[in-house]
Amino acid sequence: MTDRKNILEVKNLSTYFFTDNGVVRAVENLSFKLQEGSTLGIVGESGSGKSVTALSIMGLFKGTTGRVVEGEIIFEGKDLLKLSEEERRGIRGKDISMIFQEPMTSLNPVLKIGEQISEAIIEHQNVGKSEAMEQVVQILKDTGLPRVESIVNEYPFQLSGGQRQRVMIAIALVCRPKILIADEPTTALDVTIQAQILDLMRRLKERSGTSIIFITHSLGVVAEMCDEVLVMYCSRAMETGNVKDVFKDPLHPYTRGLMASIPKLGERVEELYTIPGNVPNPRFMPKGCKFAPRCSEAMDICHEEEPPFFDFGGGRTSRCWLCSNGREVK
Amino acid sequence: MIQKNKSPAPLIVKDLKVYYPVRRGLFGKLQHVKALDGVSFEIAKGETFGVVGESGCGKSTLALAIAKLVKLTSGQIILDGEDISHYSASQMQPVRKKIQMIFQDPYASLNPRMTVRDIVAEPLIIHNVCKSSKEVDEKVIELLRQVGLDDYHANRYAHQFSGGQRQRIGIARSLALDPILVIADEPVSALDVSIQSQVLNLLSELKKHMHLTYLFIAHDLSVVEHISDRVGVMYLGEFVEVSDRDDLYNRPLHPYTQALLSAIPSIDPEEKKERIILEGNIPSPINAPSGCKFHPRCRHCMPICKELSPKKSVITDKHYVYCHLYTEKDKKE
Repeated sequence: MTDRKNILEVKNLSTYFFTDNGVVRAVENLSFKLQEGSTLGIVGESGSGKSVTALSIMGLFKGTTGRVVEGEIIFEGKDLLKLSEEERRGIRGKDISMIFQEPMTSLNPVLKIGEQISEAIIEHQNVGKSEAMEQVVQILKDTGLPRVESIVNEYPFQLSGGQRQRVMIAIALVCRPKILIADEPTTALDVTIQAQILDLMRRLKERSGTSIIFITHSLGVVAEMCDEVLVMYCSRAMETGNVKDVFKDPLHPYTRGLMASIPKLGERVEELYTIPGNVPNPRFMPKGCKFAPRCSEAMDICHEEEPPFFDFGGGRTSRCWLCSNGREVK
Repeated sequence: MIQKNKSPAPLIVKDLKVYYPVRRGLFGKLQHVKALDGVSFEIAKGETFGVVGESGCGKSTLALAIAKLVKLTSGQIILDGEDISHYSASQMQPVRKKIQMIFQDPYASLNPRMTVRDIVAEPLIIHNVCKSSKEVDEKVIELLRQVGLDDYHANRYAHQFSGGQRQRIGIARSLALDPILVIADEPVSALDVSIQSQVLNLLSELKKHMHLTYLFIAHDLSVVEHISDRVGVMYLGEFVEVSDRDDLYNRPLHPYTQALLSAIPSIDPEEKKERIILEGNIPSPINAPSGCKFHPRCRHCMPICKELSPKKSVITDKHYVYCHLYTEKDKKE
């Protein structure tokens, strides 16, 4: 698992939003690697910086005050952040593509399904309209949609939520990307439809070997879909590692708290474990470890100094002073 | 938990139907969305009755119907021994304080121009339960403390609070009038994982201290398992299975319940469970399938399922299911 090639490497990424009310540090000094053919889960609560990480990789900050202020995003030996907008366009949607959370709002309501998918093909491949349409029909069939020939001429409102998400997946996969970023692809869907979509993504991945970054707030979905996991809190990575290791023996108290606080099927407890307090306001971040005010195991040093990453080998790291027996990462 | 004394059950619902009329186009045929199509159940005092189902199954309409916020097509709602099915708006006014609701979206259900004090005091003032404004203030502070907020929060506005705190404000408001029945419609689904457990614990604690009765509606089966004493599973406006919590989760009988349970991702990456993947989507409630409404997606579908809608099969006195698989079995035995 560990000796696979890294297809994407993010190094010390910081992305800030420069708003009228001050700077919002949405992603702070984030590093991770995505191995070829594997699935990395990024898990965290709302506002933890998951989606901004995805947007930073895609370079989608036009029209916002957001900007990557530091770091490198290395894809196939090239730093994406050093490329021109035109060069990034060539990669976006072709080599790296994305599925968004809301299948209703991210499809264009006045374009037919077939047109929306062929748009990506015509942009990135040197093919004509009719050939593009053939590809559209093929990819829609691959996603398991019924009556594909008529769906290409329909509009998004005529489809259900699950069907729209299948269309989104088709758009993202039609150019056979090397990396697929899925930002909460099943959050808006019902459990039975979620199961269908997860099943579909797993099958498509097996066939195409696409590497996936799977962003979600659901630990269950991570356990089911991912090989590696990155736990984010307050714009930072808190813990990384192989999913099986992290879920079996979480190192960071935040990961432990998250896992303990969700009701689990078949487990009946009188009271659920709770992480006390709330996520801190981004303008008034605590001085030391960002989780310290809510942490039941916090020590004096935690309130004073932010812990570095401690490395335990095999991709396992934890940003916690309790883990200082590991090798410190600069 | 269930008391067998003379006081009537807080809620009895009999064969409740709510149809919404729809017309396609100006001269189109008048059709009906059968949001609730014959729902019957009872909630005992001090009990939490959980309702689960996918979006569009009628869960929220059920909440609105019981609170008489939509027009009933037919059926009966008996609240605390009083049949309120045909009450007019003015007749409902005094009854309203017995049913209170906690809503899903804490960002949309609190008036942004009112202070927390005014939000929580509003029901007290409308129903005129306090003698003086000083008494109102005292009651508000008491309620805020009960839900884990501080006194000084009373003078703030909703936007100054996080999602979890807003939901606490909504809960304080719903408890202001000592309701007989609290309807919680997806009260934690808009909250983050770490906040969800705080609110769930608060609801259980309040139930214990104030002897509340909940109708708890959610799509998340693990949340419903955690909080409920009894659970009803809905599909297209009908219950398909109703049971006490333990029996339903240990021994789900209806193929739909089985599929729902198997669809939940487990947080144990090593666990390999058999997944039943339901094909297709929930059919339109305008043209619901004939016979058993679940038959087009059911893996056990038999010829009879397409023709006849299944009757109630009583498995134990607390567990019943609407499915031909079990009526057949009864006949053979």
